[in-house]
Amino acid sequence: MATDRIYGAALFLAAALLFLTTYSAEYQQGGQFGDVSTVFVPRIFLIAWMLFAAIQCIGGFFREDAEAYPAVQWGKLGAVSAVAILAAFAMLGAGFLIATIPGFFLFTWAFGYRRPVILAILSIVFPIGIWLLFIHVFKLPLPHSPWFDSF
Amino acid sequence: MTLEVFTAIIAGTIFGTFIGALPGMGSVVALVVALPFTFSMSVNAAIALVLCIYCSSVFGGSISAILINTPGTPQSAATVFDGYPMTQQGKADLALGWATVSSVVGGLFSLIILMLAAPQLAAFGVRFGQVETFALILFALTCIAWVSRGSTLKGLIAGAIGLFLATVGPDTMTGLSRFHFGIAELSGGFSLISVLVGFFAMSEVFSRAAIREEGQTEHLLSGVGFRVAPWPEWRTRLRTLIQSSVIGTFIGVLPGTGATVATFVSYAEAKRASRRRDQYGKGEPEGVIASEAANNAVTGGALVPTLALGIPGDGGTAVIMGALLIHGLVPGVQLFRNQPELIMGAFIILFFANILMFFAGLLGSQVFTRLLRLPEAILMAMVLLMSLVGAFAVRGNPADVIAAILAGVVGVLLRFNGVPMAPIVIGMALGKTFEESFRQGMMMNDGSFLAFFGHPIALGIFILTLLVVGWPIASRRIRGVRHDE
Repeated sequence: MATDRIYGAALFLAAALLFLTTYSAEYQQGGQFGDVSTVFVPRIFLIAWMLFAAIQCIGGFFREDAEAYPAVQWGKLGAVSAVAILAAFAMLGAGFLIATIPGFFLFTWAFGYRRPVILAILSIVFPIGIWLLFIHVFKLPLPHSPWFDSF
Repeated sequence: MTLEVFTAIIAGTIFGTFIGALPGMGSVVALVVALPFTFSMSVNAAIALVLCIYCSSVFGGSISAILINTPGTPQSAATVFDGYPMTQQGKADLALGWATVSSVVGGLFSLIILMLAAPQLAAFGVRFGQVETFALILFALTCIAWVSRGSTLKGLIAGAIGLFLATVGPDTMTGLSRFHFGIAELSGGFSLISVLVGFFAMSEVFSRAAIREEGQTEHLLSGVGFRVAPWPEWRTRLRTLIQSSVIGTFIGVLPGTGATVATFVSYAEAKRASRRRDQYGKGEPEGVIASEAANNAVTGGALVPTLALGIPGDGGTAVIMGALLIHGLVPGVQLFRNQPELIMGAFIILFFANILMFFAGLLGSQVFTRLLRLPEAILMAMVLLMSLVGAFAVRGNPADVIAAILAGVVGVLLRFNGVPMAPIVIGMALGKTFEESFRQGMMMNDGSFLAFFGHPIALGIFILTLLVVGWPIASRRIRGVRHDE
């Protein structure tokens, strides 16, 4: 199958590149007092990864494209994941509340929800609820805004 | 029992269940959050609070695992395999019933063992060295093959990726940071929670956005609430329930092994031994029983070395030990000898904690399953937000949030190719202990791997692993030969 060949080749390549890095000078230590090298075990895992990926890739040449893969809505996936990634980075840079209130709204909208009033209320209530719970009840830190002292 | 102790038991059970159900939180966070409250309490109330939180948080993890495909705690990772498919089939209420009763039985079973044989078991636990732990982890890794539904090869690739991810970050033997590629935030390695949240929760969110399955939401609506399966259903699965409780208790006794290992070993063994093994991963209640009975049995088991020897069995018991020390109690043989009434009090508290856990499950299910009535887009936004918070809250490291998001994106692409997510998480959960026990074992045996086979307990586990891996292949060959004849 074409997809198996592509995924197999990509995974093999990724593992091979990681395997090559295990030969860099910084890893040439360890192995004293009966211990193995610091990259001995990672190499075993990477060899297994490469081996299985190679089998998948080669096997893809001998199989028909019979398996029906789900129809993917790439546009919606792109929009939803872009909002999620942006919200995550914004949360770390601008603080939890500033990022998650618009992030919640945009994510749900991109997902296909179209009732703006309910969405606007939820987008304020849910992030603030989470923030209050973590900061004031659990006393656990959330990403803090660099511009405001209180949140 | 005083009013203070009674209040601590109820508060601890509710709080533990709630925190356990929040993705990324887990037992240790729940205990740490509650620790300051114990300072002003009496000794008995403090013990009650921490023990109840410890037991119920492990159980709470199963609620989110079943309802939203996101294990609240790493201990509940194996509950996802069959719990979430049950929710997809509209049987969330039944799945929660199986999980709750199994957790209660597992917890009570380990409590009985704790009461009967704590000092003896603790003495056995310390004989379990690095070589034996390595053998046990190797056995647990066979779980990767069992959970690779549809394609064993793709499951093995996923398992290898997970194992490798566990090696990113500091090498515990030399202190050298590996595979961080100059990114300072990566030098501490990946947090299991962030990877777990990314591959399970976020990839599920992205996958639902990308693939619209007809009637998906309608199916979810039908199983709201809490329902215990009738006795005939339980009777046919009693063997798994008892076996998983034994496995959980036994592994809990071993210092430093933990509930995550126990659940994977239990799941692998339950599937291997089951007549319904073909149904595992598709919503078979036995899978939920295997995971939940084992992870709650670990709580009693892990208290064995903690109370009898002063060696914490896992992160949760380490915090409990801290709470005891704050109140001037030094866990160990002397504690059993000099203050038997205190130990007996702890056992009674644990008994009540396990019984109350049933009611916490009953009430919690009523509340949490209502979430399934929300429109899918809002539910997914909540899952995403909680996942981001969970990934961050574990260590307060921004890199964990990025890792979770990346794991979600990679996870959804792998899903489209039919690569199962569970083996990645299993590999990640077991990889670090696998490497540490292997290398420490090598050092203990002067670099000779062959010497590992000279350890009788380890040899027994190696043989068992060989049988578990080899038997399905051999039996297929035998059936093939008979068929040809």
